[in-house]
Amino acid sequence: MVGRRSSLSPSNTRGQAEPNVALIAIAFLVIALGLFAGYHQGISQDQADRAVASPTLDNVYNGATDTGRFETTTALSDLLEPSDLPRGHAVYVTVTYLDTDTGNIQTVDQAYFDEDGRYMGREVDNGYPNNVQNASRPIAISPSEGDDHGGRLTVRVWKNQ
Amino acid sequence: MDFEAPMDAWIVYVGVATVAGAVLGVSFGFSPIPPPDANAATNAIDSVGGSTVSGSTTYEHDAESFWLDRQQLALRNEGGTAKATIAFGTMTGVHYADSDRLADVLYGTPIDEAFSGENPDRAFLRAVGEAQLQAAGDRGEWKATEGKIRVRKVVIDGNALAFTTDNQGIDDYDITDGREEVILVAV
Repeated sequence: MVGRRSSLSPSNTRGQAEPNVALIAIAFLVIALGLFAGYHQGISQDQADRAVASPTLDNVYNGATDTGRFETTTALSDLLEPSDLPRGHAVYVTVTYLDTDTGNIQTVDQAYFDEDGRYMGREVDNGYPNNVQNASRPIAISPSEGDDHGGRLTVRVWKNQ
Repeated sequence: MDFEAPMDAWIVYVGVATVAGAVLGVSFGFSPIPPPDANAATNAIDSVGGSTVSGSTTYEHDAESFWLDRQQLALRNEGGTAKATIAFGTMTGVHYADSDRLADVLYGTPIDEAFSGENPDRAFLRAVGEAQLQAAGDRGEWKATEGKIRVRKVVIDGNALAFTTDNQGIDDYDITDGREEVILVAV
């Protein structure tokens, strides 16, 4: 510590501090505290995203299939009710399969439901926002009795902002 | 003039400790606590309520008080308030029931053990209807919470609940034939 030389003092164990150094130290402390507080104000307080796609997929699969098969004779718009669909979210459902002859994905049925569960048509008319959640699972497509082939059921769920 | 402070005087250490304590208190005051995550809580409720079979789950949260009604859950702590709406079905908060029987079913007791009488399903649905009416009447009144959300989905075949509404919400209930899916929630 810098201070008066105490070589003439009776006790050479005394230490002394100058106030200027202490004031500068406190000034640094206050500056550091201000930076700490400013950093903490920026902590994200966002909530988690709503994960609705997976239960929606379960409900849509249950509503669309009877004994685990999707029979193409009835349209999705008739099979699904508003109670199968998530409240406050728009849903777009497609049933597709891979055509092994052409190698293309063919759509067997599709339906777009708005946030109240009303059927709005086969296509989504005003585009997707950027918070779309997808979920899909295999489904057996049965165009006629005894004729099953494998397909995919996909749901897209979003909240219109 | 003599400004120097003798470093071996005990009063200096007392002063330094006091200042350090004050600085620590100020720094804790600056650390914000985020409000509770109501979206994650309703995700947990939807994972059970939206499924097609019965099931149950728990979710730990950091809220201190809550209220819920048939479709909304609100959580509050020192950092703020958050609210979210469930996507499937309607909730029944067991804290709004008059007795503990709904809570017993939530924690795993079978319905015919928790509800005595010749028709336990109807007694259960009556308790559910009463609890939902009570929750609608208490909407916005905060209750203390334990820090964990428990959800259970119960499916009743043969009887269903039908609610009548007035312009403020549900007014009365009636037990009809049909099938009812009940989502019991304890916060």
